[in-house]
Amino acid sequence: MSLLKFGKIIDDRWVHWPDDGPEPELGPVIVSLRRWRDDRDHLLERGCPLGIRLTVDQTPGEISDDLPFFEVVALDFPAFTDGRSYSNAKRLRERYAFKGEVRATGDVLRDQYLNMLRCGFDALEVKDGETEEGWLEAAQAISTPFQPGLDDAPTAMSLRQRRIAAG
Amino acid sequence: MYQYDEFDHSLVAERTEQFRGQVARRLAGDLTEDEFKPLRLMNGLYLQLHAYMLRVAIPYGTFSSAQLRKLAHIANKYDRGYGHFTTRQNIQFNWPKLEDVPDMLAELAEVEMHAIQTSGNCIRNVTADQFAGVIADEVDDSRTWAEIVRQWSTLHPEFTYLPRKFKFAFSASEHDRAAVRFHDIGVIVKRNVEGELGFEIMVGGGLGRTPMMAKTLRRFLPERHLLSYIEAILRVYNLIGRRDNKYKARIKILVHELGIDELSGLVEAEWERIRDSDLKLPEEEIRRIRQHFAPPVYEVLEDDTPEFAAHRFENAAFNRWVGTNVVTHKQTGYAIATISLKPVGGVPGDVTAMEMEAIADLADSFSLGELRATHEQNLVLPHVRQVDLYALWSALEDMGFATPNAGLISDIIACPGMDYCALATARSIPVAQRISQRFADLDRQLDIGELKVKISGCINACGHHHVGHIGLLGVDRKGEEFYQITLGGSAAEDATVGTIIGPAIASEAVVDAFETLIDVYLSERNEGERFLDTYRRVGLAPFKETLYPGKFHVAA
Amino acid sequence: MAHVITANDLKTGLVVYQTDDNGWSGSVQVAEILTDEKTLAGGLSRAKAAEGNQLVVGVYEVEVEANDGEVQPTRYRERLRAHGPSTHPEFSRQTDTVEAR
Repeated sequence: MSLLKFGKIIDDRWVHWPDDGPEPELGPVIVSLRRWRDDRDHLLERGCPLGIRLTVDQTPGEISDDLPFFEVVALDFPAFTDGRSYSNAKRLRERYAFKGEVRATGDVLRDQYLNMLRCGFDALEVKDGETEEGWLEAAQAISTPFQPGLDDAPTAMSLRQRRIAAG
Repeated sequence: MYQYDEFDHSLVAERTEQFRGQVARRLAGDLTEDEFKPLRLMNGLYLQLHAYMLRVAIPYGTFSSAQLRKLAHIANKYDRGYGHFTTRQNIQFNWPKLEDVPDMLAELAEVEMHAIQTSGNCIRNVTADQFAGVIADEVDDSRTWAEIVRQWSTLHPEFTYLPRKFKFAFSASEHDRAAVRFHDIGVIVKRNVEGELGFEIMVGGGLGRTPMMAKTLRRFLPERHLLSYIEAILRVYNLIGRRDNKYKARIKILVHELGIDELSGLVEAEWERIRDSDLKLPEEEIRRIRQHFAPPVYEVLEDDTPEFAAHRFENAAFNRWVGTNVVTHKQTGYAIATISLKPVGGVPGDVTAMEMEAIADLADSFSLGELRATHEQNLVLPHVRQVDLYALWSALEDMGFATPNAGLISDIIACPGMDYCALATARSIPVAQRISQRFADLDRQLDIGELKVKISGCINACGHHHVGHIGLLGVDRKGEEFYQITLGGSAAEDATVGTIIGPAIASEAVVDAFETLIDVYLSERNEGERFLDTYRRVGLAPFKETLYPGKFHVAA
Repeated sequence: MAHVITANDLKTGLVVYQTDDNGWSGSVQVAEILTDEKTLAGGLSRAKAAEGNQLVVGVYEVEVEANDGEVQPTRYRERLRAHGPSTHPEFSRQTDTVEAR
């Protein structure tokens, strides 16, 4: 599994600790909400960077008070047709002002990449197969969005307002 | 009507190229059908019984003669020379080839048209009152708001993978010509007691397997909050709408299971956080969109000129057509003319490319180049000078499109049914044709009066049978086509879901059953009562007992 | 119980039936008729391979009767699909064949 971050495919420095798996060596680790709740003290004692992994029916509200502990929040797409994580990503960014990495896991495909970027994802766990060019092309597919988003593309409305203001 | 600026043009052009790339990857095997199917649906492309089908959007039913000519061209170049107007103000082509679709979309983009989000689990074509902008009883031109929502909903990154499809409808009148009470979100544009413009927001209407009427979520929403409020609704639906069962995934089920009060609480809580965000509509933006719908420069004309009156007096057929197909325009001396796409024995809503060209010419000659598509599968010319009605009617007569049946028994709404649709359980078009032929006599139709007949070929109810004054639902009984009849439905402001009258009736017997129902109505009716009024007064019993004699003991 | 295998041609969307020489034809009359579980399974497997090769999409089996050499699907829906919409006889599949390949 590789990580697509800021348009580049890089080695992922984070390790997922599955609920039914052994504890990884010291290092950046992503755990489930359940493990965080059950084992929080130990995780903090490890003294390593922490990330949290939400299932698609868990919401950022459940971890909002604990966000300062996490550098990464991983949101899942059990099927690419399940769009709940788009809303959860937006909530993380807008409502809870989360500044760390929001990464997409699961059924993550190139044709949904731009939607993810516009909802505040900045990293994707990707399977092999797509080239960086493919992801880049997908990210550039639609240049001007028609609704406010979390990437830096100005909206059509703001560009139109600018034009009117310029006279 | 709305004119694209460079951003709108970019969007449709880029979307077309995005889809072109996706088609190429599909054909090369780099995308599986499972990965491709949601993408092609969101570009309006179905795979139906015989072929692909492309559904092109006509936003809130407003389009131009130039656009209609392009649709004719597309029908000829890429399809089999005809198109079909649908119950959601869209047009469908039944025989496109996958490899041609990107080119078709590119050609549509040239005239500011597209097939974006006309299918898929996303926000669909926004529909509105087909008389918006030209009818006296409206508070505002609802298309301003429909266009604002259309743009906001287009390629919305958060709401591209909803639990299920999502449909908006807009009305700005107490007379609901857009069936807003049967949409996922129905918006009624209105004024509060202070005279400020705003919206009643209704949520959770729909037909399909579980017909439900929308409930009011908010009685009055000030205009600048439209987008933030509906964004809150969509966010709540996206997060907690059911995804476990395709037939329980619409927002109407969420309203039903949570209750409107709890849903309202969730929406209001979300809205509190976002109402002052960038979604708040700036006055300049509202004005900018509204300007696109400014009325054309009308001539100063009189109503009922002697010339017009003379034509009506001298030509009975013309007079009849004016009575059924012409509606009073809010501008003196003008008229709104309905072109019925239901000629006797015809396929409801179908128009050939040649007919499209001819109608486009009529729109140029008589309607300032503008047309409307209605959810009853007819077309409207919204800006006709009353003095031109006779010339218009004569031209329509020559084409065979002057059927004076708007709102009458032969103005049938029918889904494509099993002749075209992979989901259907029975055919619907042949039944519509047979009913139309049986009741072809115009005097008889006028005597029967307003009667909205709607036919669906399966329980997905795309023919809106639940809200027909008489509805027919095609079902399969041991391989034979049977039709279940419902009575008393209405999609207007007196919204009602029809009642099933009894066991389904065999195809051969259905048209006779219609005769029976009409006979009962005619014998029971009081002066001035439409079928629907008589039914509401006398109830199901007389109809049921006559149609199924001796078969039921009907409780009083 | 006799079956044929059907699908839609991926590029054109038109209805096709699998023939016995591993091709696909628009005409149900020349479809390979599969008369038992084993040949049906074999036919489906070949059809799935064609799906995997981007030739066709939506493979499934259709029950048919073969009387006097004429092949007729038993379900009305499948007869409509084989022949074309009843509302447009000019689109009858008898006149519109997809080349076997």
